[in-house]
Amino acid sequence: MKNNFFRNFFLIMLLSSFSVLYAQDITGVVSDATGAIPGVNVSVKGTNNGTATDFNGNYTIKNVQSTDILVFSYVGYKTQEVPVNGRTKIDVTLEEDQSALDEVVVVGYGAKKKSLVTGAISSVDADDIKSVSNQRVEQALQGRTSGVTVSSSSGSPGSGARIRIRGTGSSGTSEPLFIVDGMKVSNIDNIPPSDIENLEVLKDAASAAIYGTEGANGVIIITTKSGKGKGIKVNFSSQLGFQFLNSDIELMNASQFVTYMNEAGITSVVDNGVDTNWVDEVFDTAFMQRYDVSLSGEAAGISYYASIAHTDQDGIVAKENSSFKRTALRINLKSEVTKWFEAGVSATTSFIKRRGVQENNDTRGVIQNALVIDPLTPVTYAPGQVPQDVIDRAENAGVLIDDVPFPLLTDSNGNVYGYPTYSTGEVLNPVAFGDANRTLNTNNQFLSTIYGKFTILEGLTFTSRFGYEYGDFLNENTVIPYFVASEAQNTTFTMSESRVRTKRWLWENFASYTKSVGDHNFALLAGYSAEDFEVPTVVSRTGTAPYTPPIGFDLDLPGYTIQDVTENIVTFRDNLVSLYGRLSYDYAGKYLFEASFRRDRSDKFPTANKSGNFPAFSAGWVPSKEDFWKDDSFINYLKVRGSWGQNGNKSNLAGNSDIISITRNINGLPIDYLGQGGAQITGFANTNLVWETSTQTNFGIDLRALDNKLNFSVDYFNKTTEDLIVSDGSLITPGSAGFTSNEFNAGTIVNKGFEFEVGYANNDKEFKYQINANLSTLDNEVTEIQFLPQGTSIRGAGAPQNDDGITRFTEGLPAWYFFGYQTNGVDPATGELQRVDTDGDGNITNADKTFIGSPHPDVLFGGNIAMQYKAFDLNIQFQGSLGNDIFTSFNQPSRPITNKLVHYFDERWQNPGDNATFPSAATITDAYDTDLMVEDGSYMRIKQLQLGYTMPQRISEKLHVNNLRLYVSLDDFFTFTKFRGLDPEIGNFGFNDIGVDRGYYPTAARMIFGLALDF
Amino acid sequence: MKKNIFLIAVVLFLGILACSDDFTTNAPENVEDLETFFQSEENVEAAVIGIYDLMHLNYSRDWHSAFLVKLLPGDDANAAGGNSSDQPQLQDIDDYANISTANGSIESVWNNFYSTIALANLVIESLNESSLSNRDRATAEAKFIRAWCYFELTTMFGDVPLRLTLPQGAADFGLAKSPRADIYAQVEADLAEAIANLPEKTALADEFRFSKGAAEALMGKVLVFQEKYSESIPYFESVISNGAHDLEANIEDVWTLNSEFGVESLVELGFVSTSGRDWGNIAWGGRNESNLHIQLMGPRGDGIFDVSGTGLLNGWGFNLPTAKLVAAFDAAGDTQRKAATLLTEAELIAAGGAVDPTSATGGVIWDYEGAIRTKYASRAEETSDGGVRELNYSTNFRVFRYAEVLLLAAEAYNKVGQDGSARMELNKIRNRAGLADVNASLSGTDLFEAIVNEKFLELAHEGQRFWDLVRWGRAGTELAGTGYAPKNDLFPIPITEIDKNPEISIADQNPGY
Repeated sequence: MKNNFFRNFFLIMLLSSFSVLYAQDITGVVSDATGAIPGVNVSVKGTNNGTATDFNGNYTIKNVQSTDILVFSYVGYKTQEVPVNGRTKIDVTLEEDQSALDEVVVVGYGAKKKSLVTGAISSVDADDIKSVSNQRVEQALQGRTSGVTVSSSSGSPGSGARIRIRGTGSSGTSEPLFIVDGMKVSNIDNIPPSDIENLEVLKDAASAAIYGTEGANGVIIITTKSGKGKGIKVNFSSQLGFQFLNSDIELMNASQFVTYMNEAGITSVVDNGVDTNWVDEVFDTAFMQRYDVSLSGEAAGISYYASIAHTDQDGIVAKENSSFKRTALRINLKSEVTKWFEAGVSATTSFIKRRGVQENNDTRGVIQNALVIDPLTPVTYAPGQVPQDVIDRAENAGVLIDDVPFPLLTDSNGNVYGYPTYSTGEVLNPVAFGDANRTLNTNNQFLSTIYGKFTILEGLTFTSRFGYEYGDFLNENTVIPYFVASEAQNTTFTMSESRVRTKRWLWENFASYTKSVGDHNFALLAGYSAEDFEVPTVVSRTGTAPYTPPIGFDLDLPGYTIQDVTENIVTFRDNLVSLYGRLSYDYAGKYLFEASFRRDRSDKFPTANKSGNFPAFSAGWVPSKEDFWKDDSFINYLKVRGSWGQNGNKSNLAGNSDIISITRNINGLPIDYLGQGGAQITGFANTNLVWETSTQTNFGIDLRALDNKLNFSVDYFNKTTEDLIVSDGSLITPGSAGFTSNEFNAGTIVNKGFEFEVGYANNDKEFKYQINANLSTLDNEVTEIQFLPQGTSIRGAGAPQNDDGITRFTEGLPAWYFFGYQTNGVDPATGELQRVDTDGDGNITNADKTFIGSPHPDVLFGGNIAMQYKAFDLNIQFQGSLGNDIFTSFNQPSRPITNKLVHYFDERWQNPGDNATFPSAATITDAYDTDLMVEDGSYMRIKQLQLGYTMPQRISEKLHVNNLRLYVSLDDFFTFTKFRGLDPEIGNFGFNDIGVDRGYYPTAARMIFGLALDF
Repeated sequence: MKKNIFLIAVVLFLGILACSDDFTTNAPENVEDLETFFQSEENVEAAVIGIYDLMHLNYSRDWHSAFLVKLLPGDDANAAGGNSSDQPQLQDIDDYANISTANGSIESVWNNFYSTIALANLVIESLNESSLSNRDRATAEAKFIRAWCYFELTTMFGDVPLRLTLPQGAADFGLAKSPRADIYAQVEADLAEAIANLPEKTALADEFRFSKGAAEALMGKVLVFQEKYSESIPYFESVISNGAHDLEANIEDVWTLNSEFGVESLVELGFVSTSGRDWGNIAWGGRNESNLHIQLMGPRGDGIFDVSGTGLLNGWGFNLPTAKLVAAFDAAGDTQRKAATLLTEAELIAAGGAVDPTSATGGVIWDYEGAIRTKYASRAEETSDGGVRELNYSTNFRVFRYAEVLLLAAEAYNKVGQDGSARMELNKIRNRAGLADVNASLSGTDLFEAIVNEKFLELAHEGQRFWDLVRWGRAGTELAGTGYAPKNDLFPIPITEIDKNPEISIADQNPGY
């Protein structure tokens, strides 16, 4: 039956060719400025007759009549129409398409001309990111496109950033989906920015819907570089740089601190002549370097790109103890094996070693301790000046290490580190702590995709693509023994190691068919995919020994007490099967329409809810292509577009939420009571768990004006995320239920806003310049909460001295807003902070706690200004946010003798009658759960100020160099903010503690010297 | 060729759909199926151990234990610790000040009593139709623990939700409060069944398990708390007449390693020093086999308390005795039991130790009234020999012991006019403490006063005092000037319960909160 079908089909094809049977063959070469171009589509206008150029740019097209018109088209080049006029040999030179709107954008499972796009897609290409000094791709995105928030939860080298596209949707994970060369990947930390050709951000639902389940938080598609053109191209680039802290943070100095403590009634704190500025002591200048080499081109019919990229960055805290080293190798190959078969492979292997210090912790950690330790503690004691009580404390620990009383913490010169003179509790000398606690993460990752693309018929292709991702993540932590105080001690040498692997394969098969009938252009896509992902834990164990082991990390040394929980850690698994399709249609590029559909089936949901359907529609109109549009109009191009679609999210569900099971382990350890094994239930079943679904409507306008020099686009979006998945079932389970619910659907969040992008470029004169700016508004609101009684909130993140938690999820308010007491100034009579009795019952109780700030910015903005005059270029890139708040939880330590920011001192109440903004030292603890802890987090930062010099061609030619550019760059150097903490840009981005600052590793300012060389 | 490719594509396409059901199912790992779990005796035992383990967690959980939450409102103990804001939720309970409806320790205790109850409910429900040989005993153990938890809950919170089945999902989460009388009725019913099916103390399979005697003793206590004195007496008599129960001979052994699960023990939670806890693997807020509370409650180090010569190690300084307690011992002429309970500053110095307030925050040792505690103290011999000693104490918590039964019995006898019997039980306690009998003519309210005072001394730092004062109506007088107000007779229902339980609203909150 099928054979018959094909026979008939071919017959029809054959018959249709008869009409031109008596025509001639035409041959020729298609090239561009640099040489022949393979793969150019050559067709006879208005017919199905077509072919493509071979590797040498040659083509032969049969059955062409002398009056026909040949159409030469190739992605990235202007399409040319050439009348045959009786010729038999036609050579064509294609021009690269400079016009932005005819750029091709990569969309899910294909590419599309930007002029035909009906969704909201932003692009960043290699030129934009080639000289960034950030080592991670996601940071390179910062400030470059509208509607995208990139927030780092740490400024430590190599640390990841979180990307939020159009606001926070999911409560579980709001991370976008990353697609690298068609392959879904777990993370992108192994991709050096230099390997990236192009990066697309699919923002609206209609663009992302083809990715169904995981498109709800947007999709970022990364295309790595490939070889272009004959011969060999070598690129070498290098950066050397210095990093340092660039923050205006100021803590109380010794005399201020003594005064403050004495006023608080702690008269035992007296000036001892020491005045340590801990911020100065903890932060230091650090070096960074980066080298990228790539070879690319085309040889023997294979286009290739091969690269090695190496990065080595020390941290501004604890130097090599917070460092990042990455070596990444990549090879991308592509070949048209026959006219109907193209194959490609891309593979990358990366080796990462990352060391980090403890941060983002309420009581411990280098950064937090630097902000709270008393300034009367010296960094180190002068030789022979170690106080007796420090020696006694260690000896009184009652433990022998290496058979001698407890060692004191010393620096590399043998000087004893200062032990807190007054601060108590968990506080440690942060410089010492940076030394004592060492974490090494070794990540070796491998990613490979291989594909074959079959051209079955003219316009019909079938692609099968298989991707495999493998990661080996080893975490090794060492804590050397110390005894600083009863609450700040580690009385054994402690090591822990944990090794997990990630394995993912993704197999995708899809067919696409394009067809034009007159001015009617159709493109059809249909495909299916299957994915298998698992994260087995290979090792998870800790060991302690009462002696200092020899150098090196080895838990198998004798004398270690080992606790091994490996076998109790369950392998995370994820399986997904998907069907998808898309129909695109346009009429003469004027009327645009697209519809897509995806059906996903996941193991994460109860049987009845395993499958989710995600449809999308979009349409556009290009009035500037209408006949009535005057060619000399001020506006050269205008497109209006709209889209509607649904995406899903399965968050990081563990699966089996509909089952109550019995477990014999808690947190990997067996339930044990006096030597007997116990059992208990896991959690309460939720048989109603469904896909989190986000429905998004988008309207946009794109225009170009002033001879195409001005670009402008605006989008309005309304994204409603329903059935938010929350993993922590305790948030809806009353304590009296006994155990907690499994994962649940918490409610609905609406994110809406406008996005503007504007650009102006003038390259006509010797002084060339280009200005791009983007701005987005964001309005975030929780509109529904499920499960909980009307009027109650879901409790969020905690903080010391805040039993109610400091964030909440409440109907009618932004997601995870800050929660606490509103205040109404300081009482001039008493110096106490006046809390507002919001419920009017005459008492201040925790029922008065309310909204005191929102972590969500009202406006995000960014942009860049690029100028070029002769050999010199200057690039300024900036970004910022307005209207977001930061909860400075580092200011509210759980211990009384701790340092604070200097304005707590400067602005405090001292005497009756004072009109102060901060309460008296004696009553400051009452401020810890109030809006006094909330600061405006608005800022603007010049991300980059770069001056470059490109060697003129006449000189570089003599050196046999194509291009040589030298530059100097100041990155993250200038910041404008009212925020008084370390860094407004760094902050929590967990699902329920966005904007809570517990003491972060700030972004380092960097001075970079760079070089880029092509030959 | 092209046709074949297309054919292969179609086959693959259909194939992948056919197998997608299996492909997208991943069974839970490392867990067992609830439906079949309770079909073996061995598994039933594991679930019962699970209940014990939850109870153990609740009484010893890091900063949020039932042990301290019950104890701190009493006038025998101060919260103490590093300073006045060290673990503020515990300081608040001790000081009756600003006890928030979000108090983390009160919430934890509430939640953990209910998780213990939930697992007990599961065992009871699952064994209802069972024919397993250990069904009756396991059910009796679960009912005893459920009764224990509800009795503790109603004592501390008054009217509480009475859950007797395991919720199947969110639809079952809402449950209104039941009046205290209903809670008591259920407790009595559970205890009656427990008494019928629990083994005698001498016949226990494991020494840590709860016996018939424990259930009888608890029944008596529950009845006394309801002032059903005459009904309680037969239960006490049954315990007292049972040769398996007695007082430890020496008062100094009662709270130490020497008497673990001994003759005086009724409900005792066991800890070990052999689990190798250290700063890397300690489970904060979770399950530890060692007793972290002993470190938490050890005399504060950091140069403040030098405990040389006492056999103690330094700790984090919580739970210091009040001057009132010291005075009561002295007034009673009680030296042996006092030494087993506390050590005054003079006694500490005499032993070779020292006290240095200048090392404390602000130069004042917070909540220190001149004595440190020796009951449940951080004894060097009760932790591991080596390793991280501060995290490996093995001291057991005796949360219900025979001495309390004697005092409850004395109270019941006194209340029903059997003062002779009351004096007899009281004198057993006094004699063991090295004190003489009470005056044989002591009777009526004077005898009651003697019982009250004896209980203050005998059960100091054991979490009974405040709840006795409340039921005796004496909190107002005994706690005058401490910040106590009548609303403190009950803790607030945790706000998290009110927020998440659709059947309890803010109007159901205990008065005054």
